Amino acid sequence: MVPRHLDDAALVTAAQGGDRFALDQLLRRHYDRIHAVCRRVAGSTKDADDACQEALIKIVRSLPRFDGRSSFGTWAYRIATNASLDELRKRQRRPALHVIGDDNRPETVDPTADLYTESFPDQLVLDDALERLPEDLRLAVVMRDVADFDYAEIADALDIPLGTVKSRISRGRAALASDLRLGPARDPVHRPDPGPDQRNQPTSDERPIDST
Amino acid sequence: MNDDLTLLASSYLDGDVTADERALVETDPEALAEVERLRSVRALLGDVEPPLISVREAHLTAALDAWDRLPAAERTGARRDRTPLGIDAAAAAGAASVTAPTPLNKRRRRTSTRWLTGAAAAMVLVLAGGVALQMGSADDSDSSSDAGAGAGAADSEAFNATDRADNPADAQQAPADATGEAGDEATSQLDTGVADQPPPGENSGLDQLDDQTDLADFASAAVGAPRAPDVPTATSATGGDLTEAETSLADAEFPLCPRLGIDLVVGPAVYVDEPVVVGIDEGRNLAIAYEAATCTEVARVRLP
Repeated sequence: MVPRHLDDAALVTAAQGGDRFALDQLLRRHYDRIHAVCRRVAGSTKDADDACQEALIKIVRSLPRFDGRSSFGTWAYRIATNASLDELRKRQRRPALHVIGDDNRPETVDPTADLYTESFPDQLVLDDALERLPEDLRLAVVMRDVADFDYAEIADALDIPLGTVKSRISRGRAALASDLRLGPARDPVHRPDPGPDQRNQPTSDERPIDST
Repeated sequence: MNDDLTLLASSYLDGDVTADERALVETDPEALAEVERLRSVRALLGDVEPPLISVREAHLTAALDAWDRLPAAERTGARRDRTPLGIDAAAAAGAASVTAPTPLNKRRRRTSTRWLTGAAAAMVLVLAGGVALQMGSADDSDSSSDAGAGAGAADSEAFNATDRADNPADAQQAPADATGEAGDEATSQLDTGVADQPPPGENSGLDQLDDQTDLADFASAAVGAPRAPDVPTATSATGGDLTEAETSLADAEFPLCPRLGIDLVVGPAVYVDEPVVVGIDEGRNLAIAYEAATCTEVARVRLP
């Protein structure tokens, strides 16, 4: 039996030695953040759940070949990010049952009512804002603010320079803040909604992340 | 407020500023306001509603089930065949890697066989139908079902004969294939719950690429490494020694995907459990694994 206080590296070693309990502990320790990464990258709850399941299975199946060059968490969150991107792409390939354009939104009684929101927007609003965010900005922001990667880890994962990482995180956060009407109204990087076909398109050389 | 200030505020939030930049932010109310605004975004993003306990437990159970189904040797870290290190070993690895296109060629032959078999079967059906009609007109006591059965038998015979004639190697290999498929069915239980796993047998014989190193080895060995005389070459987009029909079939099956810059198709493989086609962007010296149906890039690596 593996003691509960073991760190990730010890649990990985034990799991690689065939210890199922160590693996269970390892997965439980990181489950919430894996799920959070999937939730923020994939968007909808169902897609996030599917991505999370996929990620866990891939983690388990790849664990024997995990070489410890990065931390287990970094490695696992990369896999979760990739699984979420796969899920996103599957969703994009699925035919939409219906599309409701912005023109169909009901008019608000007070047109200025939503300019300044006192309370935090709910999850659906945040999901919507994330979906409107270009994919490369969303990945950078989620990896930083949800997976807690440092700049170097993001640069390595996305294979982009550190300066680009900083820029993407900054632009992504600012765009979200503007979209969510947080603070003073301004719009440095917000782009008009390009429509469902153009959403989630990377603004640069986005590609799946190497999780090795 | 400008982008520079936002960038500075974002870096400050992440603790990635110099002492001067820190002082600059902390003495500028506008910068501090921007920091708080971005901090709110970070808090929102991190505030993810946890899944239901039942969902979490189901996920963990499925993952542990997948672990339980791993072969013991693989579970405990025994690696699958890896590219050996060293110059001499590199040649061996190259020769081994270029066997990867073999399944592609086999698939082509199978596809050609299917097409020819279908045509032959159709011809036999037409002939058998004509014979039946003639016999029916000559002797009304013959039933059409007999003619149908005869046609079916002829059809079956023609199918087998055509299959064997078209590709004797396939006929000889049939028992081996059947064995392989049985094995695949056993291992495919590992894939329970994995949405994008191919059907059993689809990837049998394809090279398993676990990471970018494998991808680079697979691609570079196929285009540049010494190979045994009897090992088929990598499949060029221009066809090489293939017939025109085979070339067009190959191109139809594995598109070049100009969007990805593929100049050369190496062949099919499985990259981290995902069936892919490996191609090479010669201009940028990249090996690219991509999903053929959608031309979606799965992984890339710079070739040595």
